Amino acid sequence: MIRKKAVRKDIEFNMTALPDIVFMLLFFFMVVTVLREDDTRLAIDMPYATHTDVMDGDDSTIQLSLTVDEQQDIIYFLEGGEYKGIETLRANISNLRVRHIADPDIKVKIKIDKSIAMKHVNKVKLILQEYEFYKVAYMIQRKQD
Amino acid sequence: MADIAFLLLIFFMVTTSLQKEKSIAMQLPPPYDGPAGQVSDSRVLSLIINADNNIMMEGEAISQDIQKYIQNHLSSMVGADKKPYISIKLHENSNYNSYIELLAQVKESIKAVKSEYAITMYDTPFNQLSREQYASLSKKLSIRISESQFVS
Repeated sequence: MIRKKAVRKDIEFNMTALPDIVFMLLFFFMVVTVLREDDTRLAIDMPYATHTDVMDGDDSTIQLSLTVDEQQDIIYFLEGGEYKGIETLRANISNLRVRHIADPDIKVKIKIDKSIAMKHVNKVKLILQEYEFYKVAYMIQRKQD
Repeated sequence: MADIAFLLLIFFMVTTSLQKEKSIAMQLPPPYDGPAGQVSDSRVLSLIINADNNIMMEGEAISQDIQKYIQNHLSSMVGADKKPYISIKLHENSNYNSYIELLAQVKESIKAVKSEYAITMYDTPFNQLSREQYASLSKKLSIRISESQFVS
């Protein structure tokens, strides 16, 4: 008896629709993705400067921002949180000491509105010194010539 | 069609670079409550920002190019083998913008003085110095910046 060998036929997919699917996924993710959003509710108009220091992208950082609201009160933003009053800010900075212990080289990225008076900036600096956050980077906009 | 689209996509993915953040880095000193240290006047460059956000020097407004001015002072101090000490006094009501502007000028002039000395001492641009040269230059040109606040 001759056994008839079953001829296995390769299954072929129709690939015509593949680019469509890939593009659909691409567009979906392009639309959905948001680049790191500004962590502040209020716009901060940072000063311009001619000099810039190189900033290592790998440094671990803490984000701190200062600006004024409509009532001319100073508003502090720290790591996504929004605070009013220097004492509240102090309490929250002291909570970040764990991060400092984990990484002594941690940098504080400070965004300050250019209209803010230096007395407010200096108060913040004193708090940072008190909690041993010595490395700071004042964020700026480069002067456009 | 799909090939071209992917080629373009990959090309732009590779060539695009996101805008880098720009900053001025500073190292804050540890808190200090003790008596004020004495530094001889001849090596102090005292810069003041008053309540009207004008940059002053020894009570007079600087009319010329501030960066050139700071640079000249620093380089004459370094030339006389004195370690320069830049004192920035800020009025409590001066604004952050004027502070950053001054800080940028100070940093630019320090950079200029350093590259000037790199050329005269080693005949090499500052960014091409060897590690030893860099260390000895930094030692000679240790420029300190102190900041304080005043009220009128």
